[in-house]
Amino acid sequence: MVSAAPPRLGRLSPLTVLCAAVVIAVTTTALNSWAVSAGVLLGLAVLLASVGLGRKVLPAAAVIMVPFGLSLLLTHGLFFPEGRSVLWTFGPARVTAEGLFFAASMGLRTAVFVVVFLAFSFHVQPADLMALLTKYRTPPQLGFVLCSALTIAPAIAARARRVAQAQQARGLVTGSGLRGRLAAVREQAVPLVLALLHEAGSRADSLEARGFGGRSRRTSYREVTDSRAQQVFRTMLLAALLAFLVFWYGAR
Amino acid sequence: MSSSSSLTLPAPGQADRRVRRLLEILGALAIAGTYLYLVLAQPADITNGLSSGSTLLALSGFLLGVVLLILGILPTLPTSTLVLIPVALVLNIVLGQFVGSTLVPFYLDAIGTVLIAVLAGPAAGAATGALSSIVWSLFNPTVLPFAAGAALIGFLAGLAARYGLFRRFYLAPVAGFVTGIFAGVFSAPIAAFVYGGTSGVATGAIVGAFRAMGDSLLTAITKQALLSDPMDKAIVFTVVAVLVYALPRRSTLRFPFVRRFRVLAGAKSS
Amino acid sequence: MRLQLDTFSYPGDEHPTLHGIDLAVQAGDCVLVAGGSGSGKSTLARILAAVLPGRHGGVLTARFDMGGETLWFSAGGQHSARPDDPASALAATSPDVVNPRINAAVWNRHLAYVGQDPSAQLSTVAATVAEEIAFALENSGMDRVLMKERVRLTARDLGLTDLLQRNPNELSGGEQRRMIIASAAALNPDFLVLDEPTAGLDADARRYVRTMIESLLARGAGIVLLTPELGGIGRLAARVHLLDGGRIVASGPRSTMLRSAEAARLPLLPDAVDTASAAVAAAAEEANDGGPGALPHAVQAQPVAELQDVVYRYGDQRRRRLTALSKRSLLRRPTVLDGVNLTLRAGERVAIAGANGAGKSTLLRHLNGLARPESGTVRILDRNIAGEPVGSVARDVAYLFQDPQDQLFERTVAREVAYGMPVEDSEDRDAAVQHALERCGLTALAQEHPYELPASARRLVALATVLVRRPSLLAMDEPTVSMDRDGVDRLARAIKVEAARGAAVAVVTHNLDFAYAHCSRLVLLSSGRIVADGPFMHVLEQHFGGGEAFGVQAPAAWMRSKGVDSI
Repeated sequence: MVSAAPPRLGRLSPLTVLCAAVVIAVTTTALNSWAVSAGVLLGLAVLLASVGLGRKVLPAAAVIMVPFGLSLLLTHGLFFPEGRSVLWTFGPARVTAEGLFFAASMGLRTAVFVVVFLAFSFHVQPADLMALLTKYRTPPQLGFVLCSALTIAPAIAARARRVAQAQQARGLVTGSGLRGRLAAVREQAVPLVLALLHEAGSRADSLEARGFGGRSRRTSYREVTDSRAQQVFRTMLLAALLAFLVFWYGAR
Repeated sequence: MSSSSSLTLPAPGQADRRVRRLLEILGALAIAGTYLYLVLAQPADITNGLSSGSTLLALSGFLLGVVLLILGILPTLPTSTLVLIPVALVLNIVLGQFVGSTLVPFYLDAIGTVLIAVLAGPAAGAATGALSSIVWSLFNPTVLPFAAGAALIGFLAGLAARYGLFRRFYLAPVAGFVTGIFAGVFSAPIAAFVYGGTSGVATGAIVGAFRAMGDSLLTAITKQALLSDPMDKAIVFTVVAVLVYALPRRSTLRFPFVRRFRVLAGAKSS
Repeated sequence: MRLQLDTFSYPGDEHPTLHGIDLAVQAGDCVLVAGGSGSGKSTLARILAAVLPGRHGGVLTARFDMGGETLWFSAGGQHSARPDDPASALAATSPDVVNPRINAAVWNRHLAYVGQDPSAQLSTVAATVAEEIAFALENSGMDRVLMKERVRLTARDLGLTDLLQRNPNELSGGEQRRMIIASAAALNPDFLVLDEPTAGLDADARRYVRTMIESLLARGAGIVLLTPELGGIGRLAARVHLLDGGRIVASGPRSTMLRSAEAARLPLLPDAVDTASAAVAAAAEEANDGGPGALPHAVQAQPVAELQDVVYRYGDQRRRRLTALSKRSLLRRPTVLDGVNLTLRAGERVAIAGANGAGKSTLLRHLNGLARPESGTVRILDRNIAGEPVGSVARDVAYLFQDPQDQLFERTVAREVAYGMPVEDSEDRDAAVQHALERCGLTALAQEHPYELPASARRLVALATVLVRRPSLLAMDEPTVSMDRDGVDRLARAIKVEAARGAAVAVVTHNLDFAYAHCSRLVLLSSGRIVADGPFMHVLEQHFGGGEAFGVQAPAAWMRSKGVDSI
């Protein structure tokens, strides 16, 4: 996402993608049925694969979901005191149908949430985020922090590598054992943090000297893809979501 | 006269300040209200699944609160603090992974947040914590609901610094431990009601063990959080104390918060 | 524009960093404020930029005339009126004791500021150079159509049109510097304050920056340059102020200031063209003859380092592959070193020069294992260092990085220098540390925090950490960058003494004037190959008849001795 290169979701505005993500996540959570979640997940996988985003989003989602799923299975699959229909017992562990069902529905619901928002992440570019927030008149500081955090990671990683190399070149071989490692961490963390503090100081001066954080309204050089049709679509989508929620929770 | 000059700014407007304060208060209220609702309205029986309504309400309540807090706090921060926040967010990740590769059992993902809180105060700490979760959620959406908890950690760390707990080196881990207790109790209901469990295998095993002893899901997750969080935060606070005392005094004194509340031992107040 | 400054001190400091400064600049003028490391240049630049005191705190007593307005800063009545201060009168007449809070968005239309390190000044929110240039315009709320036009014009005037669509993070240091200057200039300010605009740049990049400043002057902007260099970019200035200990000690036209006693006293870098003095020539003579201390027959001396048929491509470091390199460079994997053979012998002082990207630093990094060859071997003393960790090669090879800050981490200079020394014999150790501190002129600073020292002294701390270990080979990457004259002198002496002791010294530098005076052998790299290698004078005679070869500028002193006028 940091170097968000194509493939992306065509010429969709990041806002449209975000809207769709919110609507999908909220609806599946509200319906709270493992079958719906599984269906939505399958649909999303097909959709993302067809636009070429699947290869990026799905592995990233898997990295998050596999330990999460294992944790749920471990917690509810083995120990679910509320469960009645016991399938298998082994010492203190009681595998129950209810426990497995609970783990599956929670896992699938979370998986939908993870996939839709990762799709948004891979679609949006940091600079677009800044431009969008500027357009909707949020404080410029917010756009700056979000965008900057996404773009400076490589520079900080490079700096950390330089510090590590510089320390090695001084003959500071990472010692063995906990003590040596802790010492190495301190030796490297201090110059890294200091350099970053120092750099942040220079950046603050430079931003201030260029009028950042002033009182006047900010404009944006960058244009974010959007269209009238998408705006209408977004409004309708959100209205539909609202109507659905009112119906769903009002009817009960 | 300078007051009529176009080169200078008029004194900051009262109305502006009031709006910001209002946003902060509303944000804090939204978070506290959501938390209370979650604890009070917790379902007695989870066999039918958690009510999807309380999940949605928890998510939107916390998110709204966090966004209000951020909108209230960010514009009041000086640029020199603001530029540190992205660095802190990346530090949360970089240092966390760096240390994580050498010492396995802890996450240490709040080092940047606590560092900002110590240098720039509770408000900046809270904003950093919240933003940290928001940015991290772009890579891992599951951390988004914990943004309010991360804000709480930043806020408490700032308070600890404000009241001199970083002036004595041995007090820092104590403050961290206490912060960890609050953080654990706060984030447990979120883990329980939004995800029905924890995201790591090791923590999942601990939750399972408590469940095997017959605890309810929320109790089990709370107990697990109280096992890991206080220790983790004690370490984080200690690491930050080591760092800030290794920094040259001029760098730390650049921060008005450090000067004003004499956050660090030996630092002159002004 | 005029700044009359009585005092400025940072919060918590007892002594003012600046005092007694009167600086006036007219539109279209170029003024040079020259001072050594730690003279207060950067502080002055940031006061001009209205960044200080701002929210940083600190106490400023000053009168500012800018854009037809007058602003008063005063220290809440705590004036120390000194009769010899030109600005002291203002203390009595200032109408207001509350410091005005400057509106940066208006201030930067009058005066724009560019700091030292360009990469630390990127807004980090711009995806292209065009957006970075537009940053100040965005903050002023300019309409997008006007903004696009302004960015286009600024880029055209300042020669950046080709870069507009590039990613700021992928530019070279020189390109980044030009982009940041353009970003400051986009608002068409009346004045620009540039803090060391050419530090760390090679000859080409320096020329570009200089051309750019000339265009700004041609557009009618007033320029304030702050640098220790009297030559180079300093030649654009008509008036020169000499800054020492936070005070302007002399002012006047450049021609008179160059030859003033003050200029000679301060640790400024002299203009190599104006003062290709007897001293430089004598030093060079000595360097090339071997000098009194050097080993007489370097060729027969023991080899300390040997590179044989070293080939290196980007992406060779398997561990760094995923993180460090973009996909594109992985695919093409350009050759950085293409069959390099080089032997460094005990007592030799070798300068390694070449254009940007010629592979100089990569070559140097092979000497201690920071870079590993794809094929070929690297021998240090009598062993092949393949597979040996950098930390253990470091026992014999000391490496000084371009950014010394990365190497330092202790609380005091003394602890820093003593770090990692054997503890058994503490008396010997203390003596060695004292000696190293003395050689680097750091005795008085032994208890300071390394990071609180000025840039030049910080480099000397890094040098001291190296000297104390008595390595067999000293590898230095651009050691003269951001050093003032005092630092350069101490470095030169260290090189000489170390070589006389029997160590080999390898210096990567674009500063051939320094190398000419203090090195005996010159190695020229071009596109990853060694294109010339031999005694310094010999290589100069062979390749530098035209004043420049392989993107490297001949030393000015040598050019003058040849009767050729460079530039």
